[in-house]
Amino acid sequence: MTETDFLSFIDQHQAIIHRICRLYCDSQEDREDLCQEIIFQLWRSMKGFDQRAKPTTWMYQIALNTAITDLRKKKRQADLTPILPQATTSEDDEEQVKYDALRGALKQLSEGDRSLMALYLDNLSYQEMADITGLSVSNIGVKLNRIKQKLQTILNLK
Amino acid sequence: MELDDLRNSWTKQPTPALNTEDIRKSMSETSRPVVKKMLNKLLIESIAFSLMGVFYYGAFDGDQKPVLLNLLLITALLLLVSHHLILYILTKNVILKTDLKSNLLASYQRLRTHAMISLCIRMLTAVCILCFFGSVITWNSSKLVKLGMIIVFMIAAIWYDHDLWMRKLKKLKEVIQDLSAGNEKK
Repeated sequence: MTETDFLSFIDQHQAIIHRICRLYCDSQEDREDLCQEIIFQLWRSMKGFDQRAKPTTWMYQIALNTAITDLRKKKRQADLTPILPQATTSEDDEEQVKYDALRGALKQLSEGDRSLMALYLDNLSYQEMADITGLSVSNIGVKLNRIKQKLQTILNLK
Repeated sequence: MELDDLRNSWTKQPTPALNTEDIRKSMSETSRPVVKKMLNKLLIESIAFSLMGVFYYGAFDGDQKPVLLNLLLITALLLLVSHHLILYILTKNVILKTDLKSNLLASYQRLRTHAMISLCIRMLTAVCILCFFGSVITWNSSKLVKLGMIIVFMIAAIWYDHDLWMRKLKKLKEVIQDLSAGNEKK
């Protein structure tokens, strides 16, 4: 992959990075810092990337690893207050309420569970999730069921 | 609220759009937030230890000590100031294993090595400084008080550092254990 290819690849798939940053960071500043670090790590790891693998698999791996291992956790997790949905009328507002409710609930999950949810929310197949995480397909299924139940409980409690 | 329904809200939510220039900037080492932070620390610590160096020369009879002892102290301070840089150089190689679980395990091992290196540097520095002060000093009550204050400060700093590293390691270990729980070989 040349520099031009890399730029175009990131440009095309940058939403994946932004969604992971949104999942792990509260403030805009932290999200920007993490996004920058993920792109840098992707660029640096490009030489070691196995071209036979799917580029997005590599992107998820590096992005999640960077988000989890980055050391400024304290600042990032400062605000863990669930975001409560508010009554609205328009369709857009309703979407926003759903999104806020989900984001609030996701923040209550452990970081490991959150990484699996990041993949689930992006509509990845169990096989793709297994390739990214290194877990078996059956274990992904078991874990996701447990996490979904946990999320459902949190959302119903609100 | 159903999860599948919420999943649509998650993917539909607009995300920022970086242009090519923003992406290119992110690829540069010097613009990394972690590097900027490290350089700031390096600057602050360099100033602090330079001041300490100036202070010791007058207040702790530095000019009357053998060159070897002075060198020992300078080496210790340089090691302390540059330890962020040493850790940074050690992290230059990106960890790229076959999957996230292996990546996290490798990151944990690396973090543990960093913790050990960092704490060893701190302790080595503390020992060097104490050897320096304790070697040929002419003790009086005022100097003993100053030395005592330095010892307390050093122990507290090393303890705090140790605590921080342990917390980081524990947190990462929890994520790995959480992710690996119940997993059989693929």
